[in-house]
Amino acid sequence: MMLDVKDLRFDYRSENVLKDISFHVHPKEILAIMGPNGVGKTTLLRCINAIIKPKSGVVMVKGQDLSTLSLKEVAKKIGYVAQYSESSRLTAFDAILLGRMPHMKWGISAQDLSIVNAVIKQLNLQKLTLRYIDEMSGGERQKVSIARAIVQEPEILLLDEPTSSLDLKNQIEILKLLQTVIKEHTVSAIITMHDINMALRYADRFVFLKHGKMSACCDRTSITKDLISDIYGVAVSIYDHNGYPVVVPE
Amino acid sequence: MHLSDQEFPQEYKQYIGKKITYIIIGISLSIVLLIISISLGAVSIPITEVLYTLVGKTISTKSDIIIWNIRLPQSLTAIVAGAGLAVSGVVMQSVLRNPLASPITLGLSHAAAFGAAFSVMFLKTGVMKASGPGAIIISNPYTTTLSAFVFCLISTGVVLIISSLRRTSPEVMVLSGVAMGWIFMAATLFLQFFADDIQLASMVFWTFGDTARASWSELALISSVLLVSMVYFFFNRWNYNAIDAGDETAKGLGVNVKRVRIAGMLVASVMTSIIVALLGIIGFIGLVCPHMTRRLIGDDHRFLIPGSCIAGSILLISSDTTARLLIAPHTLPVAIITSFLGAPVFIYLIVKGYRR
Repeated sequence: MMLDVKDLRFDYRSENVLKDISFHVHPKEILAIMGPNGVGKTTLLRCINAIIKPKSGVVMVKGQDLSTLSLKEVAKKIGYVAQYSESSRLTAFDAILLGRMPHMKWGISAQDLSIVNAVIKQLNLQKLTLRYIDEMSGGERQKVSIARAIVQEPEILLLDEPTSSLDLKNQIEILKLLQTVIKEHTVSAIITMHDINMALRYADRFVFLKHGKMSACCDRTSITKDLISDIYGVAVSIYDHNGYPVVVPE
Repeated sequence: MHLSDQEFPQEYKQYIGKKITYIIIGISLSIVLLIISISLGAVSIPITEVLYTLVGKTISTKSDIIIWNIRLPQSLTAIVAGAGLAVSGVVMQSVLRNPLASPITLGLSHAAAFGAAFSVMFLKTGVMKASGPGAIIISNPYTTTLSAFVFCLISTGVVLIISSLRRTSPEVMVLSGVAMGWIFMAATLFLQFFADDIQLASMVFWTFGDTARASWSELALISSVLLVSMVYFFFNRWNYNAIDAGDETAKGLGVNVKRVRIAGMLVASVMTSIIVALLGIIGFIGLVCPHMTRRLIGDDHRFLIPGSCIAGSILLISSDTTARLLIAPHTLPVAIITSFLGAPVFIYLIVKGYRR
């Protein structure tokens, strides 16, 4: 098992945000965390990444409890792509090179440069290499962020709404890229998403959250219209399209 | 996961080489300006004589005295103080994620001015000298300097305490810094209102930042603080790059954002406080030089930190030389020139659309 989340609970001040969250992620798998706005999807990702401490429960990567590790050691196991990343006057190469920080001692090594170079080639970003990220489009910047997470050489990639501000073509490009990456590098990915149909198309399994609790953890075949209607509070129908379920509001 | 193609991106190496070239050009330019600055003034000394004197050969005793006792410490102070103020600005802008962060906008200078005014008023350190320009002197500069420094630290401490109560958000730091600045400005005005003529003159005189106040011992103090701070900042260069990408991203990369933010502010504030307490208020270097450098070589702190230092040195030593020549044989305090040079550049940056 790549990642195990057991009985996770998180409170913000005295208010309960998440409770009884338990699931696991297999190698080379994309798990989508779904649910309405404000249900705690981003909070769950932050708990997994040890950016915030859960009140109780454990998160384990390959059997190792993350709460026993330093921030830097966590960063060697988990690559995080935040929903918003600020753009500065840094070239794509340097922005991706940032992903080597958890592995750096005094500065960058020849190996760091070579890894960044390899990932740039693999993701086909050669044209962007020396362009400043504050001059890039949203889709290009998102690819740079994903490349940065990959050069961290993590076991797990966490992506917080990676497609939220992108057009259809870029959404598909990013999700396909993610599929390729996890297959080639034997990593797993956890993503949060709002677009149900995109998630059903590209993710392998799904965790649905409602009122801070897990309503379901299932694969594509177990998605029913009752489940979706219950989670989002909207009546829907489900149709089949080339073997993928498509959710359409009534 | 194993990644590596054993290939080194040549294109990237050339790009890095270009940035290093900029820095080498900058260093050479500041050395040239240093020598020119030593040669120019009320008494002009030929460049060759300056060079001979600097390598230890005495051409004339008069030049020897002028160079070693007056010009060299003053010019070196301009180089070192300019670098210190500029690098403080870079770090403050980065850790606070705000393009307007600088020692002046965060209230440090006002705190120092209040400290000096407090010392003049209550510790009786301002007196009148016989006549001529610079008639007002501070009778006990060490007390005044110490008082200015202490109030800078109080201001920094209050800002850090307020922000740690509010989860160390950069906005809270900036806003509480601005608020502290206004409090100290009001307090200074209050003291000035009740001061007598001589005290008032001493208070105002103190605020005119002037590199001529430093002798070798002050220069040694500023240089050693700059050296230690630079090593610290350079050690954190990747952390600052990560924070530029956003707090969440930086945390995901294993950066302890809160610690880097507080420590960065503390080191930058202490360094600025020492410079301001010793030399008086020198405006705009800390705000403008980082922005000029960002435009020239980008936001990568590996180059931005040394680059801004050089830009700060160049701007301050040029202003200092101009201040000495403008109404020669009298000299203007350099702070007047830096603001005149700095403000138009700043407005230009606003109009062009500044980048952090």
